[in-house]
Amino acid sequence: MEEYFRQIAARTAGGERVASAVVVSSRGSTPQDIGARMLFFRDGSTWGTVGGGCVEADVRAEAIRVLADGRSRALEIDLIDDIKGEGDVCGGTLEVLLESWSDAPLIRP
Amino acid sequence: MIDRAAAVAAAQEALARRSAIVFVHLVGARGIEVGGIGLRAIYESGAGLSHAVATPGIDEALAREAAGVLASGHPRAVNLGADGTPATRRDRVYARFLLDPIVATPRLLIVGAGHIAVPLARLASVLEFETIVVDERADFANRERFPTADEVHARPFDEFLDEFEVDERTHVVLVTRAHRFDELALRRLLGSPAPYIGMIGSRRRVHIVYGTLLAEGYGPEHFSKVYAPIGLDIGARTPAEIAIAIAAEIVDLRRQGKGRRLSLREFRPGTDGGR
Repeated sequence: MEEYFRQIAARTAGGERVASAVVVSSRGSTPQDIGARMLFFRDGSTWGTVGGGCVEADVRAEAIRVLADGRSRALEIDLIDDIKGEGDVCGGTLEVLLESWSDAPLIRP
Repeated sequence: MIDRAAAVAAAQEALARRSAIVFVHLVGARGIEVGGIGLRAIYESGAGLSHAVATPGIDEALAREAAGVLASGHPRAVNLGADGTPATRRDRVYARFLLDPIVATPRLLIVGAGHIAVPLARLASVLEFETIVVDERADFANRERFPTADEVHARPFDEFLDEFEVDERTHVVLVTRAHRFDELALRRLLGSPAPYIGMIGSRRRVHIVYGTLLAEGYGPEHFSKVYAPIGLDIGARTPAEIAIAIAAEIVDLRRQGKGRRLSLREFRPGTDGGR
């Protein structure tokens, strides 16, 4: 947890926008824990995890939008029957809260 | 509106003094205007909510729920109606919140730097515990033996424990080289807020230690956090196996597990395995 905030503080102090993702709820056999968290940075790097291959691509795509427009949003990912050829076996739904962090004042559209 | 940079600073400050706060996030709403999604307030014990979030009823319910989250240390999502009463996401009117406790990294304090401490410190690091090892023998309590530990102290147990602040996120394992040291350390920890005090030793030895302490005036209530003999029963024999049994017990306690096998041993196609 210390490192999570250290990362946000360090990046935003440099004027950069950061997107966070936190698991709000998970149903079914998704391997995530409520409160699991991940950070997405402008340079494409990340910190932490919200559960690996099954969901991370979806979360990342939404996080990129957050980094672009600075708007926090909730995301629900349906994983039912998501049994892919490459061996990903995740079922259920995952609810993720994505937030934008920046040192600059928030400009609402 | 909450200043988000200030919120990050508040979280860092709370973590530095190892006291917990709760971030209150709006996740979504229907049929009620409650403002933007995201961080909306910080709950702190004694201070309540830092900002008004929605209706007085909702704010009251949020403060109450946040207090519970603070106590448990586990995040929670809650749905509230306009008056703060519980709602579901099927209701026409609800606001959904995530109450996210900002709690310091859990610690594992390993008292005794012997053969069990070495694999246990490694496991603790893998489990992302802040790991602290203490032993008065400098040839045991050193960086070479504990490369992943956050702190290694070569100091007498009593002297170290009298200074070290054991908080409610500090799990303690007593694995010194002699039972009298375990007992000496245990005596100093009995009144602490540690959620777990595991002590190595045979059942017979543990009975003797309990007997000694009871005779000294300690009551059974002092032993509620004491786990001795230590570890889950997985037949552990080697130091590494014993370390796994100890680590498993700590995970089981933190996650409120059941400490049993998960396998569907009676599984037959077309049945639920008798469950």
